[in-house]
Amino acid sequence: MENAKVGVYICSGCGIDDAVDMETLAKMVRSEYKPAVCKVHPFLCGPQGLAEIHRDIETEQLNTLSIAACSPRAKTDEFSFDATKLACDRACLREHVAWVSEPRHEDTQMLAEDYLRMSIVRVKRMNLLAPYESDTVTTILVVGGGISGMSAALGAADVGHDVLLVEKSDRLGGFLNNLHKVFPHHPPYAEPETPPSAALAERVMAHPRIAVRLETVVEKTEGQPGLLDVTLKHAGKTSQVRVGSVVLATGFKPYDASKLTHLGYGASPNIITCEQLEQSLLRGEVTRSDREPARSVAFVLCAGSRDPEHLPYCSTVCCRTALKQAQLVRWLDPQAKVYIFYKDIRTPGQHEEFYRAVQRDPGIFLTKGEVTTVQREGNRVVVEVDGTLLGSKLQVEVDLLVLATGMQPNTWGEEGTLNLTYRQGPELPTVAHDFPDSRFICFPYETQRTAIFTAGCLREPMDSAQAMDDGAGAAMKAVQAVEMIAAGQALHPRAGDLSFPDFALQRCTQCKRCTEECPFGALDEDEKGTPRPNPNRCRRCGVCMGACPERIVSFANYSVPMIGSALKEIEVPDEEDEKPRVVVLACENDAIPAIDIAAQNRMRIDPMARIQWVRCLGSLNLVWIADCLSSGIDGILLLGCKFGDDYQCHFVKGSELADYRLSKLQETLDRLMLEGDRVQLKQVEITDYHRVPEIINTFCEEVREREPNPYKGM
Amino acid sequence: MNENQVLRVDPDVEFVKTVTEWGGGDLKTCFQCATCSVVCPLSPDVNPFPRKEILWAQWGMKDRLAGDPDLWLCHRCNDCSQNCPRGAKTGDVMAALRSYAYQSHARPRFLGRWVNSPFMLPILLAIPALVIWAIISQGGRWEAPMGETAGLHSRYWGNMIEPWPWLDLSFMAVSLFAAAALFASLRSAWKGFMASEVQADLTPKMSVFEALKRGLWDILLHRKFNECGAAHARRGAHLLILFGFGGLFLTTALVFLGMYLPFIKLHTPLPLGHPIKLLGNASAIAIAVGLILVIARRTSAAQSVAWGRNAYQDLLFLSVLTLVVLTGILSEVFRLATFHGGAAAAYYLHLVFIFFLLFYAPFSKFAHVFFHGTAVVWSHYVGRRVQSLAPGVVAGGQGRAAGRGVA
Repeated sequence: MENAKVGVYICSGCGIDDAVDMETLAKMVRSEYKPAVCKVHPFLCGPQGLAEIHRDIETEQLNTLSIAACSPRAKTDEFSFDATKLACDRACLREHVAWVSEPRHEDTQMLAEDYLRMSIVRVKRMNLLAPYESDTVTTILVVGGGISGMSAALGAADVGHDVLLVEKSDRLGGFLNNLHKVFPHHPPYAEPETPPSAALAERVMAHPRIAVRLETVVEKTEGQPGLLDVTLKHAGKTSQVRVGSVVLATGFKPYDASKLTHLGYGASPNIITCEQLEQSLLRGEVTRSDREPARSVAFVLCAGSRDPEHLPYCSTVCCRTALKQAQLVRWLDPQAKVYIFYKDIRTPGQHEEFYRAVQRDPGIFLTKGEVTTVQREGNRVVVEVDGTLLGSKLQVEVDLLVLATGMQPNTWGEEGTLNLTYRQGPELPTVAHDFPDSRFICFPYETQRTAIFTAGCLREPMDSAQAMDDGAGAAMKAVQAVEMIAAGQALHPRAGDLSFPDFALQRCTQCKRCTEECPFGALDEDEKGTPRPNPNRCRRCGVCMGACPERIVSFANYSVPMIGSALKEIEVPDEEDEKPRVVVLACENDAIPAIDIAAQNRMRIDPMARIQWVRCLGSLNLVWIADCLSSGIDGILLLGCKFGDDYQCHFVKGSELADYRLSKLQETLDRLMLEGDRVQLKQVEITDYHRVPEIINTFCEEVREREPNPYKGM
Repeated sequence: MNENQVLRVDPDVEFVKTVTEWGGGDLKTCFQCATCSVVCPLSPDVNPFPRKEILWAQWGMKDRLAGDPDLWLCHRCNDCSQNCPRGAKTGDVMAALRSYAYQSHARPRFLGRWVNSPFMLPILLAIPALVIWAIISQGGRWEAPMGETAGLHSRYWGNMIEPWPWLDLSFMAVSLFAAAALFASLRSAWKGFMASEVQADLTPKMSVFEALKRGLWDILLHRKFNECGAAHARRGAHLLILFGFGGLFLTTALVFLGMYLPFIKLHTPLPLGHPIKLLGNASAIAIAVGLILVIARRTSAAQSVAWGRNAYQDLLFLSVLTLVVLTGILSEVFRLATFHGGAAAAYYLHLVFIFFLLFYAPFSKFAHVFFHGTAVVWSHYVGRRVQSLAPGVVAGGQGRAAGRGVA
């Protein structure tokens, strides 16, 4: 920042002054950086300490603060300043120095000094924030009129938002419209209940804030959250509407039973699915194909589920659906016999009571087992089951065989669901098993498209009660999204962040790395391939900043030069001092908290390591590594989230991108006769806190045993 | 059990309902976790019970159950009931299945249905009441020798009622019928045991005589009962009843022989000091104490899981046995007290209940004595035993159960 007037506040509380000589530290700051104010306080986050800071801001006209105290993750309320008026950075003397190092040791003192240097340089490079302002709307679009969608619409409308509910078919209710009954959701959980969809639809239709558009589809969605222009199509006519955020609740489709030939589907009209049986139950008569009443019905659970050949996952409802249908079949015909063959009965929560109730029926026979063959014998079906506990294979002859098939997300077919005009594609990216989840472990409803949330069975298999809760939950996220976006704030995980990436486009070479790598599809392109940012789609992870070879992307409070100069500020002792230096670039989402927890447990971390947080390892620009190596740093350790199919990266693939970029760099390093493994990436989860010090210390040990960086002192 | 065998099943819903009615209502509750088989202290390691029996019952496999020796190796310790994670009373289900098993072997079938139906109880009671009444009315006299040895010189040997030969003949006929029916039942059950799939190797491991000897010792010492956990306390009461009943049976047999063998000429009533009388009275006291203990425990709510629910079959057998003992004791007491009317009435009822007990034995829970005995002998004969424990495992009760896995 130009005209930076710097105040440096060093806290000596929480044991910091047991480990570090505060006066020496302050003396170093004063002599090297000559800040307007530099104070040591024994209890900085206390009322007196804070009052002193605020008084100095007033009297000394400070606009830049470096607070050297605890972790930036601690005392966030106390040390919060208006980022539009004041740049603030935090040096972590407590968790990264005092609690993990040998007290009053020379190396500990040097560590504290380096952290202060880095912080002061960082904050001097920061600019004041000016939030991205756009004339946003707060209407919420809900796509899909099943119970998840209806529940989402009601959730958002009840807290005062206008909702536009778009349903493809001619009535609300979704999949539940096909059901005679649903399994019970109220005590005593013994008998099926009427589906909740009709009552919910009535409430939706009557709600003054909900506009329902039936027989309508979304033809196109343009723009960015807060300003999404949606083209609706109804009866051949199109209309446009602007919405702020979206809840997608398009539900599920039953797994295609025609693929289940091993269970005889297609071999006989008397081999049907649960959905087909439900139609019979709706009609009130369960018959064979020759119209004779079905006196014996067998259910095969997990039909095509938990099966690597078909759906490898459990759809959670099929067991309960079969139990419900078994009960209904017996109600219709008390003489009927019902067989249920299962892998495991899964009746979560109170539904165990329902299982018990059904099990008590003397005409319902349940056994674990694997259906091995299904054969048609005239109008009957013979089922053979192996692996039962009865000790031999079991054969039953039945009138109807019902396959309890699983759920697949009802994602976009040919016509698409949202038809986004995003550069990265028209629909939500899907992950495992085609579910469009972002798989943010901590953030349900999230997708890889900002402010577009999923709810209900589109997100993961669930029952109707869960789907209603899910809709309500997603609605809250959608409401939060429009409100935060209106204020120019980032959504989680950097919730409330006012920064956004700035592209110095005059230097852009149209390499398209940023537009391709953005995990949220925030960047569109013009015809030449120049990125066109959409700040409201952005999650501020900085992956674009890490991707850009021209380094034209920066945030007001996070940039390549800012981190680069902080790293260069680390004091590198001469070779003869035998004090090698290691830089740890740690992801602020998992690695930094893990280090903090390790520090709370007073685990030791090698004092040669200098920890620098990054928003995501994906924001790592390779120039930082060059900066470090050229200034004589002996080793660089990158700590990021787990990647791969089971990724835990908050920004989907940041750590994976870093790993990829690093592999390219290592080749170069090897060419320069700098061992490539001076730079290493390790994956850590927050729960790895007990392992993190060991990871850092082992790396430091390796560096110590190596020849020093040949560029040292050059 | 043959893995490749294919079993075509068409479960009998009526069977499931019957077992449910007879106290086995929890058979549907089972979710096949096998905790019962693991905790059972009596169950063999190969194809252990009671889980497989519960499974067979769930699927209505009544033929398998009828020939299943394991049903009778169960002593209703109720460790299974106490440990079932679903709260099923597994031991009660086994008891209900046993009721089904003895009934399914017993002929004529209609008597089995009658004995196991509370609605038929009046008819069941009316039969002995009328038969004995008829015998007495055919020239009998309601006169009886009173006092301790009053009958010594009396011509009325038949204790209190004449004509005795008819009475004795009718009881002989009843006993013979019961013995024949039981023998047929047990033969049918033995066939089932020897064709059972619970154990692959059914070749004899010893002579029948040896198996009988060992089985008898098991029963007389209640060795299996001794291993029970939850219902371990039943052992003492059950032993008292067994020995009391045995003693009374022996007394009756001795008196019968004494009366009919020409060289002894035993005259009843015997004086109280007579060895046979001593045996009879001691046995009566033993069985009375045993019955009081059982009734007290069966009616106490706190003991309900360990002792099991009281099914109709249990109550019927227990009541009839109690009434036999009670009327027997009363008739002796009234006789000693020279209370004519009371003695005659008590004795009449005593005869009615003995008739009931014996005549319906093959169809009632009384049969359990013989089925258990047969199964215990069978288990020695073919070597179906609980395997010896690893050293260090505490034998007896729950310690033993805890040391074993499930096959």
